[in-house]
Amino acid sequence: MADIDTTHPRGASPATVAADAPARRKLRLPKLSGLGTWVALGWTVLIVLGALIVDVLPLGEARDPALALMTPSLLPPDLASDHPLGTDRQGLDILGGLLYGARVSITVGIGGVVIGGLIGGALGLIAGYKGGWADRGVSIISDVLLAFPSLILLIAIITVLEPTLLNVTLALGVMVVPSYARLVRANAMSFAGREFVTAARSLGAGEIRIMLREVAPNIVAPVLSYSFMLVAVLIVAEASLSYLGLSIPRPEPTWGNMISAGQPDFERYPYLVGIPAFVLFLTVLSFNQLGEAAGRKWSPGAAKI
Amino acid sequence: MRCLNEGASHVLRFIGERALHAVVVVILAAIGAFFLMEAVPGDAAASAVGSGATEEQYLAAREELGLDDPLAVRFAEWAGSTLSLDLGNSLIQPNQPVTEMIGNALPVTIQLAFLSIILSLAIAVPVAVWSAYRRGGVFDQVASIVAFAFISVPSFVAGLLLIYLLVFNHSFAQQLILGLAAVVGLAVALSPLGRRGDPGAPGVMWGRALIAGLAVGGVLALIATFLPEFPRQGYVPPDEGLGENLRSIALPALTLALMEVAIFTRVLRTDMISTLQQDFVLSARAKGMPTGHVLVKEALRPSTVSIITLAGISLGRLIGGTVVVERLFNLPGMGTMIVDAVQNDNLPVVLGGVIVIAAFYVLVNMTVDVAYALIDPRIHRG
Repeated sequence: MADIDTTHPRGASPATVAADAPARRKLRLPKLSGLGTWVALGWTVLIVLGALIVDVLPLGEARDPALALMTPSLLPPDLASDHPLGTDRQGLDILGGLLYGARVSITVGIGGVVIGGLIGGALGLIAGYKGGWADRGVSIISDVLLAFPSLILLIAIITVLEPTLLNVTLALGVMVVPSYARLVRANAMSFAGREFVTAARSLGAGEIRIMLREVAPNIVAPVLSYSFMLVAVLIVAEASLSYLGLSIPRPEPTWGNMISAGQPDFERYPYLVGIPAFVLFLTVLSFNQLGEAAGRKWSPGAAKI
Repeated sequence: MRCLNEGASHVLRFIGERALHAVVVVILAAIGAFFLMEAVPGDAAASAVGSGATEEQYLAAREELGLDDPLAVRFAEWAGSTLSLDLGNSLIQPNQPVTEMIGNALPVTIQLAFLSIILSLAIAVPVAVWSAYRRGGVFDQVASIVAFAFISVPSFVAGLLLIYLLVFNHSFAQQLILGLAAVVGLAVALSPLGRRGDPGAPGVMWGRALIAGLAVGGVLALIATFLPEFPRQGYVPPDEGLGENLRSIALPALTLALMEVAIFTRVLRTDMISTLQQDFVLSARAKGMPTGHVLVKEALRPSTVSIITLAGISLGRLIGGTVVVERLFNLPGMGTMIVDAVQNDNLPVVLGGVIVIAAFYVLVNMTVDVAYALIDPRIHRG
């Protein structure tokens, strides 16, 4: 769609003018794209940093109810106190829970994308470059995985596996394999017939070398910008699973199970649900914003799925 | 005439190929799901008899469920009964047939999915049309930002927010919407301030803006005044009164619609922007057709294909995506059935539910592809 707008000679025809006419002073909102991206980057760094150093921060007990017996439960948020964001029904510290939850969310989000990206990327590269039987095989695997709506596939996989951090990450990785396989396949196909690939082949380069050194580097940019959005998708998927009680169980805090645990007291203590929900929203929004910005910058004309 | 026949056979072949592909994918998905469930570490017989059972009861259950047979035998038996549309019985008392459970649960999920699609189209189409028409304007920018934010709200978060506002703090929600009515109405009425060099008399322009502002503000104020009380959870079947049924399912449908609205709006807006630059739209405008006619009759019609595709894809997505919302609002749909079954190790129900959802999903996607090809013949010729 984009190249029609930029390369078509009709770009300056009366049709475009008509769409904008009459000359109208537009009430522009402040340019959010630049600022928004910086805010998103800042929030992501903050969350990742918090997840990394939560063990050494002087926070109240957030994971073991047995160690929080002396803490009053359901303390309201008070930034000046020992529990800046309050405590839940078991007396567990909410700020601490958020940061341990961030560790889970960031791990499953990035880990799942890396696993899915490596497997799906390899499959898509072979399918797109080789074509023929390899392509048909990969396509049917993708189609079968895509026959299940993603959350249903995730639930089916998690039925088999114990809900540990590693297993949830693996399941999320499997969930995104077909998306990566399709994206990489489409891009690999468009490069497989290009001159530089033929040149490499005529110079005697092997198939694997061509795939890894000639084709793959051209696909990295669209895959990376897509990955930011998939991290957001996976964080939501893990939170949904947690909320359903099918991911890492209480008392180990995740954003989803904090929301689910706070739900019975929701009417009187809305912060129990509101705080983790807001953090989840901001994080997902940030990754989406980063993905959007990266997509604009890196891959304006890349093949879409 | 020859040409027509050729076209018809093309279409038929295309439909045949897609249908065959869909059947193969569903069969492979079902087989995959069967072997996945075989890998579950739990013991189906143990969960069937419960923890208070004797050794003999347990062994009898193993025998009855055929757990001692080799895998190949069990697979053959399962494949045979599944092909005759028998998905086995639930392991939990009262051991209902799985098909019966699905027969009760699927209509709830489908009603929810359809309602949220209708709701999202009703919101998204006007927003997208106006955004595209006034591209880059204040409305467009606000709508884009709101849509982008909505995409980032997980459905259970949206649902909890709606419950908090509309169920727990009903009168506050009414005041909030009234406030919104005043602000939006005023903004629309004062919108000519942002214009310059508009052709036509200023009196007409201000008059139109005033009427539009009053209309928008009035509709929102009416919604606020007559905002019904929604139940926190539960489902009322349609045969107990359609009004009650809709009231029980309105909040879940709205929750699901929020994200769909965002997606629909973004895609349709892009679509409309390119249509508005086409020559036939320009010629309609040049002939002096009213804006409403140009937007609805001329520009929206080519987008029908996109709308059908979007609605189909989102129907498929929602059949799986209602899981969380059903749980949140305690609706007896497919999602609740599957999640309960997973938590109770009730494998036949998980397996049956997952296969039915996959089959439905593939069927919907295939129908969308075929409909797409019938509307736009270039697809299968290309």
